[in-house]
Amino acid sequence: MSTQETAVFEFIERADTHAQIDDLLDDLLQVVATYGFQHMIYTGLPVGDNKIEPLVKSNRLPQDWWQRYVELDYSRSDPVCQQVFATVKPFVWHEADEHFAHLEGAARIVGEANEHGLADGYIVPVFSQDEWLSAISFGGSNRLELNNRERGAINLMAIYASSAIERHQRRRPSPKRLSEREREVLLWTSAGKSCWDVSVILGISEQTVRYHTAQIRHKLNANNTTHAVVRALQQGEINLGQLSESLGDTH
Amino acid sequence: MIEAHVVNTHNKHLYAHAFEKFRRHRHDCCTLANRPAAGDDGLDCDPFDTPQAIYLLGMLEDRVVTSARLVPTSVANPVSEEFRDMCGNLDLPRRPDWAVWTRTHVLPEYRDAGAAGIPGQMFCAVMEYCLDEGISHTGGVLQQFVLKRWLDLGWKVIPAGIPRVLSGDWCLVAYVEVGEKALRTGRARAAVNRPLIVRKGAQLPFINPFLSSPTLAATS
Repeated sequence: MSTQETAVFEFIERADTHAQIDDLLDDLLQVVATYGFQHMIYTGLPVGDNKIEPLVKSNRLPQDWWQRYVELDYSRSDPVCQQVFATVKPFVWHEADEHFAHLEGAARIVGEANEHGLADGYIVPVFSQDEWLSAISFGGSNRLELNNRERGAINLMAIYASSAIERHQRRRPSPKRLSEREREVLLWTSAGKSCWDVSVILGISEQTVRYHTAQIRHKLNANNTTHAVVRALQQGEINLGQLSESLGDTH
Repeated sequence: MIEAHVVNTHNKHLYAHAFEKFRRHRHDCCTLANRPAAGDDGLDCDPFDTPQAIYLLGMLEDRVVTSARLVPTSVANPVSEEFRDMCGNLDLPRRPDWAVWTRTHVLPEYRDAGAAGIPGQMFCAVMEYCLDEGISHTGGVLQQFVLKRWLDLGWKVIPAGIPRVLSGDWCLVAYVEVGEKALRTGRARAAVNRPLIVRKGAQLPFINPFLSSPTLAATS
């Protein structure tokens, strides 16, 4: 086994021993540097009109680039992001299908990424603990030629790191947990029920439902119901089983 | 929630009908997933369906919705015979208390239900069975996405080598450490609040005391 691969297995043994996520990311970036990467991000992928920012779990991309990426909502036209939805398999960024590379604005994103030291990269799709399609993406300043063995090694590190990050984040105490009642209200509103519907179902006043809804958004720092549901899933306040059960009740 | 019935060479007649019905569905799943399809007769589908193999059948009422097979690593098994070259990080296990876990199948309609779904319940059932039987590690060839699920259950997973593409999917050989803590964290994640293993008819110990001496294990 090569020294590079030995380092991969050593990283895996250490992945759960780091006290802080930052220490884990420092360690990961040090090991993947030998494959040509200096940056990484672990994020959920936005569907429809959703934004990427609330879905980010860990981010070590250049800050000015990320700020621009979020402000201009680049994930919609980013060929790498769009390719993940199509294949759900790991790939080198420059291998993204031509169809996505020709999306409006895609060439500009690729060019600007290059200017920020992200000439190429490798992305590993994973399903987060809440079953959301997510990915760990590594970026570097040079074009990459990775053989299958190298890709396998990066996949392995990505999977151990993504799971360790999520388990770390779940252990972190949340200062603003939803109450049982707020959770019920969120599940019913996510199933399309109006405040009046929810008030009848739960036997409380419509005004109280509105109060709970405002509290939910405040606690989860969410702009609307969809955003609140995404945040609640990410933070383990509700799970997909509960969500599908509440959706099932509407049919 | 499923009941995971333990099926062995002595009690398989009790499950013949239910298992056969499941296998007909599984045959379709395997073909669709571009994996080797099962044979057409009884439980004997590949060379590793020996008397030492045990099967867990995950049942909802009288319907089998998921299955798994465990084979001791001290006898010929899929990893030792077919994927030995995927074990660069670990000496090939050949111990009666290390089990090769294969054929984790779930009917298509039960696959996508999150951590608390049928696959999560089956993972917990396998962990519970291994703990009952004194198995210390279990694993085998698995797809990368399954590795993530095992880790998310709070399980300690030892990768035996670097993943590679098998039939279009990234796969690797890996083994899970069996233990009380793994059962506890797995149950918490999969929302399993009771034991799932059910035993009917004649039972066989997974670790055969007549085959478990180090000498025999090393030469088998």
